[in-house]
Amino acid sequence: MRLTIKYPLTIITMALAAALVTGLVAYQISEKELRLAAERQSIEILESRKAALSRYLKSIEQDLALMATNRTVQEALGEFTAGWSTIDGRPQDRLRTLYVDKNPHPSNAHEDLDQADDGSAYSRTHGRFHSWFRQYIEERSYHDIYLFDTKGNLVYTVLKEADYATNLENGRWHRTDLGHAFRTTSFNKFPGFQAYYDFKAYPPRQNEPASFLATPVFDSDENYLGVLAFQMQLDPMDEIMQVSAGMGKAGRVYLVGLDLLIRNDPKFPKASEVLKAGDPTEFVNLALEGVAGAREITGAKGDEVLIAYTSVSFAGQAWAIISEFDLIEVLAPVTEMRRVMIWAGLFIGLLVTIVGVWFAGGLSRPIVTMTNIMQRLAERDLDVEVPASGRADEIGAMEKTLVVFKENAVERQRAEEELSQANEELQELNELKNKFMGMAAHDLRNPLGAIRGMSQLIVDLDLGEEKEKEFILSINEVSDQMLELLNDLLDVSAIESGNFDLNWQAADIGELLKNRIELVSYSAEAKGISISAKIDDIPFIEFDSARINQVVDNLLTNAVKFSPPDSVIDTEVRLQDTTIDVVVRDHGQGIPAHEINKVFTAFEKLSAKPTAGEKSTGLGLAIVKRIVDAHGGTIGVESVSSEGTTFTVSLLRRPNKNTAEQSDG
Amino acid sequence: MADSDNLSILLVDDHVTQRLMMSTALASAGFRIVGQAENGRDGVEKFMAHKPDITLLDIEMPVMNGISALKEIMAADPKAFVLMMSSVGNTDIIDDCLMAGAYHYIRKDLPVNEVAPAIMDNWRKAR
Repeated sequence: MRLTIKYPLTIITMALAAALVTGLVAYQISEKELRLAAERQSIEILESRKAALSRYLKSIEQDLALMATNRTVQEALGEFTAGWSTIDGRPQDRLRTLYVDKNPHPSNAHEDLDQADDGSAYSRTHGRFHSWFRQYIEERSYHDIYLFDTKGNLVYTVLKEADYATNLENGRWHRTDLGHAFRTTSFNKFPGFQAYYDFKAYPPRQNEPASFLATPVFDSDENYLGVLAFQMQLDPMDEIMQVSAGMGKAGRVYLVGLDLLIRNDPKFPKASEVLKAGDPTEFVNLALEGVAGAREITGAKGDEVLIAYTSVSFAGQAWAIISEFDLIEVLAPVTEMRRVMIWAGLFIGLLVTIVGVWFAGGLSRPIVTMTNIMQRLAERDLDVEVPASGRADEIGAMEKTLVVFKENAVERQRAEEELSQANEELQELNELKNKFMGMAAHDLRNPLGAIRGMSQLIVDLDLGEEKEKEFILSINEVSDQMLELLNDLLDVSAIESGNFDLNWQAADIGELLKNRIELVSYSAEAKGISISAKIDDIPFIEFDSARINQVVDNLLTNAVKFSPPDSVIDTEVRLQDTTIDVVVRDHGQGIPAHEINKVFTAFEKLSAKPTAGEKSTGLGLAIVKRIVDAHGGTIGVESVSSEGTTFTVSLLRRPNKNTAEQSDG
Repeated sequence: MADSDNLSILLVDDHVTQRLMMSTALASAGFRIVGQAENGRDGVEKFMAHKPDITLLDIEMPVMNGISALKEIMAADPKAFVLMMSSVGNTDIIDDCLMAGAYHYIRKDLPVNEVAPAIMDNWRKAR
């Protein structure tokens, strides 16, 4: 994987992993803490409910005990019992007619009738005590107060409901809890006894839930008078259970009896749930067995619920208090935290990505740049620029190394180029040599063939003396040509191989020219050619006399060869600033412009021909050029067609002998 | 020898020694040397003038080379019997000459006493 991807990816992965782990741990811890806190809170709430409920139930017990020993109650029970016995006919029917059927108040307000106007002793008693009892249940929030005589006749109730004035020992409602309460109490008629009957459907009240607490009543002489009973209301318990502090929106507290029925209206009931089946049963049973605790369960709908449970007992009766917390609500803070964390994580991820890419870029960019440069160097692209950031780190070291690499590569390439150029030159030289050898062999073969053929003819034929002499002269002439060619070849060979030492000596080049003119004058005169010489007053200069003789001879001989008969050859020796120039000018046919740059090339026989059948090896001017070059001088040629050719040799007045020789190996 | 009697030959070569040698050898073999030329231009003119039976034509010559001369000769007389004289090695040029109408060629490094029989061999084949 490329560094530009790997570095940022590593950084981002690590950062995200760190953020994720931290977040997860924080989330887990928070969630656990919240759950524990919720558990503690629910247990606390439960305990406080339990305490409140206990206080309330205790107050009921105390109320009943106080009422039973209250003189007013004792007096009232005594008088109601007496009044009951003095009623004509069936007191049951009579009282129900008076206080229920003929009650001027509506059925839900029968208690407002203080006294029926029948003038009976009962009604007088009723008139004396009723308002007191009525006020009492209103103040103490009881549903009703019951007074029984010893036989079970319900001689007084505040509300005058269906049970009023019936006999609970054996009458219509004797199977109800009120009947049980009376009988149990009358059976256990000793002071302080209390019989409790838990909430249960109560038929006289259209099966509304009803709970009773009963106690025997004695007069001051401890004579048993009858039974006092309370019917408890649900509302106070509801109020206790409905305390909503810390319960959350969906939290509920249930009070559940042994019958697994709910005693209170839980918070926000759709309908009254009192005495409906308790739920969940498992925790109710646990609580009723006296176990307290809390547990998380998953509800039917997959919702998590925290259940706490404990029990409270009253008059030997156990109730379970169950609280339900919606964990979604409990965990709402961590849900919010999770949401915040996701956004924070995304933000951090983005930030880390940007920083990571930036940082990794800073790290990998120079490496990538370097890699590209190395690649280009590997591909021999030596124009590539190696950056010089001057960094003190490894990147800087890499740059420096790379500069060395590049320099080496440049050096190597230069060496290779030189080598290949040298190779090329060698190859060219080799080709030239082959060509040269081929030409030399060719030019040697013709005269040799002539020598062979003519000597053969002399032997084979009777040619006669004159003819034989002519043949032998020809052979001699051809042999001269061969010798000349071989000498030239050896010269060229010597010059080319660097085996060419100049014998530097100071001399007068003007004298040299005059001497050489004299030597060619014979062959010149044979063609009617005259040679003029115009020689400046010149100093001695250093040169190799033998070689310069060769040069001048060659130029003069060529001039004679290519001059038309009866023409003039002009020669000059000119004194120049740094050189002395030797000029030879003929008036021959000239050299065509396209051939002028070939005149100094070996074996280049040009189109111009000697004017009197003279021979040429084609090497003369090549040798001349090499000799002049070896002296550090120059040779030039100018030619005008049909007007003649001018050769100018320039020799240095102060030759640098070493470089002059070396410049032409 | 009798075969070669009176066969006329034109010799075209730029080397004077070569011409001297060849003319001597061929004359002694019974050929009649009707002309000698030192370049192609001269050769073509002499061919026109003498209409020789056999023309010996060197290839490398100044002014006009052997091939150009051959083409002019063949253009003037398609029945001309021309033998090229060639050095060893330049077979491409010889092929060009044969295409241009030369009957055959004589190698220049042939011993001089074998030149006349070689010419006669070719002459007989051509007849």
